[in-house]
Amino acid sequence: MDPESLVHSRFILIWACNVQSTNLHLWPYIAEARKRGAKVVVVDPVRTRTAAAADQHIALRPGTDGALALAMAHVIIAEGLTDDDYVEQFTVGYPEFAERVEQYTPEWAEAETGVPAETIRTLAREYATAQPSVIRIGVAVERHAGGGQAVRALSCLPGLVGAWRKPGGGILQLPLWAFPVNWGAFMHPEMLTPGTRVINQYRLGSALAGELDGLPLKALFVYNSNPVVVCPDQDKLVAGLQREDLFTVVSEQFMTDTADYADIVLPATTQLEQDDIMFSWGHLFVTYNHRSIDPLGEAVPNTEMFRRLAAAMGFDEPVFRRTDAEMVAEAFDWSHPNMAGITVESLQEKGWQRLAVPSPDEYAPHAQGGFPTGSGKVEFVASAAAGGNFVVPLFRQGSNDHQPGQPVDPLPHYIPPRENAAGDPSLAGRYPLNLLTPKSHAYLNSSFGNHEFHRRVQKEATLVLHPDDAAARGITEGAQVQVFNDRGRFTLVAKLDATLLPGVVVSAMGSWRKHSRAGATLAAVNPTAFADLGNAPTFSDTLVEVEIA
Amino acid sequence: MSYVITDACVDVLDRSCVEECPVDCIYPGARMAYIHPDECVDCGKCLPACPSDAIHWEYKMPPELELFVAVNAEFVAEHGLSGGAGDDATDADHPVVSQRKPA
Ligand code: SF4
Ligand code: SF4
Repeated sequence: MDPESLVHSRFILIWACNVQSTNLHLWPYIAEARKRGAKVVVVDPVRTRTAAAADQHIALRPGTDGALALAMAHVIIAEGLTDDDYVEQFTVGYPEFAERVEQYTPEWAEAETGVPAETIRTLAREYATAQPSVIRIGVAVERHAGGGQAVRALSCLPGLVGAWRKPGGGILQLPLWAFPVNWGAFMHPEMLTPGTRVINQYRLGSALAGELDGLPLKALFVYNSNPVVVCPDQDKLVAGLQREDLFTVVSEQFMTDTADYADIVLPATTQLEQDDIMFSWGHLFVTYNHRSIDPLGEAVPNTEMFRRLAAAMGFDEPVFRRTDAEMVAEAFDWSHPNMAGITVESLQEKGWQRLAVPSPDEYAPHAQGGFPTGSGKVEFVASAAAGGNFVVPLFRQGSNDHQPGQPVDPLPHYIPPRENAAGDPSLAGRYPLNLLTPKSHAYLNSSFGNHEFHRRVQKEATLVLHPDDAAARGITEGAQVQVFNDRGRFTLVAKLDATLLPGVVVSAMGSWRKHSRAGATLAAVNPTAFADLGNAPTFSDTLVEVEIA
Repeated sequence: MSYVITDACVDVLDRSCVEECPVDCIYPGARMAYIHPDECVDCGKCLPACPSDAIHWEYKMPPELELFVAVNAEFVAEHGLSGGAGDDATDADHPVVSQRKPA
């Protein structure tokens, strides 16, 4: 769906997404919808600035999003609030789904999420009846043991109530799929040697330590990433990077925490120094990026870096000799109807053009189904589950090798957090606090973590605690504290906030290790365990203890 | 931490910045507009919109305008302004502003 269509939404449910910090350009459309009478509700364990700005904030226990979503489905079905005609025509597996969610009553969900059953009922009724309704879902939902199934459950709700019928209805995470990107030309998966090992970056620490199957890693080439800050298991990862026998090359604009450990740092261009063509995760415009200046010093774009590397290594396939202009020309399927009137030349002239889809006032792409699923419908019973757990090849440079593959229940269901009191009482006894590490306000993951302006806006990294949790540990505002579990520890400043749920502590991610108080960031305590679907990380599924340092 | 409106706005108050602000955290008073320091998201969008160059970033304030950091914060606190200005204006000003003689 089109983010700009949100002005037509009557009910906007922002789920685990701090829009004002991480998706600011969406907020004006939400504000406009509100002026036109829409209600804005935020579901988030934390009272973010977005939650504070909304009409209602529903704070749930971390990692219990799936329980809340399934209980909403329960209420919608039990109270006959479904759009029967939409369900009949454009969905698959409704009877099985209805039977599945019978067990997920609001009372059950209250025990799980901490949200009162009556609040859940009201939420479900308002969401179902104020049409078109929209859910803006954040990636935070995915970051715990049952994250995949939580997203599955949420994705079923718009089909249940027929939200897809009108502009401004549906579920929004990234409108990527409207762009006819020529992925094959981007990634050339056919050039991959079959059987090439794929290592998930969230296991990089273990991989460097030789704990994974297969040959030991001898060389590491990092570009467009700063694993020391964004990957879990920081202590192990840094120890690995310090290995004498590891050859590390980092292509970077800045001396990041990762570049510090490189044998060779290659200077990379910024977007100001290179030409580029872009699709978007946040709107429906294709953009052409003209460089403003020629590359400084010896900096080169990734494209040139790999051209030179291929030549030096003796790879002479034509694909390695493509110019940037040739790659731009191959980037999209220009004959696709969504690209009507858009050419490389017109983009170079105008800078940006909206896809040739109906206007935000008319665009309802799934009013008649047309979903990218096996059946083209909303699949309450997912046909893709037949192939077992998999990662969309798009997110592995097109590779479909070594998929996780374990069986997946095709019907949404609830999987509680891995690190919690019910599941692991002994762990919860030692580490009773649930650490959340949301995106920071002023950084983009770890990008800008070195920049003066952004560091001043973000201020020094803090651990936010409920005053009761702080008092129980003798912690006062501004005290230096250590956060720890079996994986590691890091040191920072305490900040008290009575709006926080007791038992939850929060530290925004992205600040750099070299700016930390004791040579570690929150990545030192984050888990390497995967979520249930797609080998996603579980950063929100972390128990810790905190003490005065 | 936020952007700050200073005395070049007094009696201009054309609201160009209000139009620009994505989170509606600029509150017009009688003679000057004020930015809510906790609601401002530091996006910087208002700054180039101002015809009188009245808006500055808190960390790059010209020294003689430094007092306006407190003026903005105190005004919104004093009048209990939060959650967006909408189309409303407050028919008052911070004392530092109301004491100024009209141009
Ligand atoms: S910096 Fe952005 S958020 Fe702050 S007042 Fe200006 S426009 Fe509004
Ligand atoms: S744009 Fe400048 S002059 Fe106009 S109201 Fe805003 S601060 Fe005042």
